[in-house]
Amino acid sequence: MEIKRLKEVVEQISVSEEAKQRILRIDKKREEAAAKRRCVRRGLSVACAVFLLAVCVSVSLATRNTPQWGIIAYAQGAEWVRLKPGERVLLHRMEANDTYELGLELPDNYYYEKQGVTLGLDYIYSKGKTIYWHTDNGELSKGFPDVMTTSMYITILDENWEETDKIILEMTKEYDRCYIELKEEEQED
Amino acid sequence: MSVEEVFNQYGNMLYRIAYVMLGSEQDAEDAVQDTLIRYMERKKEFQDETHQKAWLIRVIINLCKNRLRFKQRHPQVEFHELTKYYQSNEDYRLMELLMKLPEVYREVLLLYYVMGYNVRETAKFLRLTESAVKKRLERGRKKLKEAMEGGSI
Repeated sequence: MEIKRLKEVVEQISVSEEAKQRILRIDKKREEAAAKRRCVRRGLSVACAVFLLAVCVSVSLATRNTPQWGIIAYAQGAEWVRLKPGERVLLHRMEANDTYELGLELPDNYYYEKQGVTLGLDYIYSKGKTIYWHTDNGELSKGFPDVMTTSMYITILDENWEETDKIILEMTKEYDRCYIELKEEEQED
Repeated sequence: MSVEEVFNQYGNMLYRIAYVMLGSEQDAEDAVQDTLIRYMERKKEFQDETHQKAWLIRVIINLCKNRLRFKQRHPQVEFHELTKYYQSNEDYRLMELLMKLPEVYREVLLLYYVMGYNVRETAKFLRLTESAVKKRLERGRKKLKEAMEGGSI
């Protein structure tokens, strides 16, 4: 069958020597440019170097724990609020589709993965960067506790699909109210 | 590894992926170059060679998909370039049809049949469920088979 020959056929494609030189030549230009940027200029005094180092360290410390993402929730008062770690927020139902909504704010070309969660008979799903929480208040749901909590684990991935962050959202349903809390980063022992 | 060493080891593999995805030598060269630049700029060490290879494949597929989305069109396949690689009409035809397939089928067929990854690994590369990969493989195979028998893509 032809499909089995795909590997053999595709592997007949190869990079020509000219193409290789083209690819690597421009690559060398970038390497040179990067090296120039990294080079400390002659004539830079020690005092300036130390000052710059101090600035770099300060900036690095200030930005080290700044996440590349944010989570917003449609909250009480019918407004969008950005979740802060450790703060529990009462959600407000969206009239248009009768759900609670959360939004993920991510840099371009960043992605996320979310583990599925269950909370009684509620339907919690995501579409794009929005998480929808559709509560079920029908007869069957009356068999579930009045207060239920679950945790949603979200992994943030950069443009190379490398994991950059893990988020935990605690979702609580108390009678007819729904709360969301962005959990604090776990402290390492 | 230096960038040249990476290219010597993986260059053909990366080029093939990009060429099948994008349909032109120029675009494929650009994609390989962009991948190598990202390799240069990467700060973290790879766990091992397998990790390094998988990372390179993931990056080039991502770059190709971004390029295709940016252009917002099916790739303008430069079919005349294929004559450089294929003397046999059959091989030429198979390659031509592969490159005419929609992107979603091309990428799974490439990873599964050409790169030799299994369904689970292919799903991981493309961030799909295994079931989705199996369906796309089945449909891709079917379209290729029909086209080889005289149908159209």
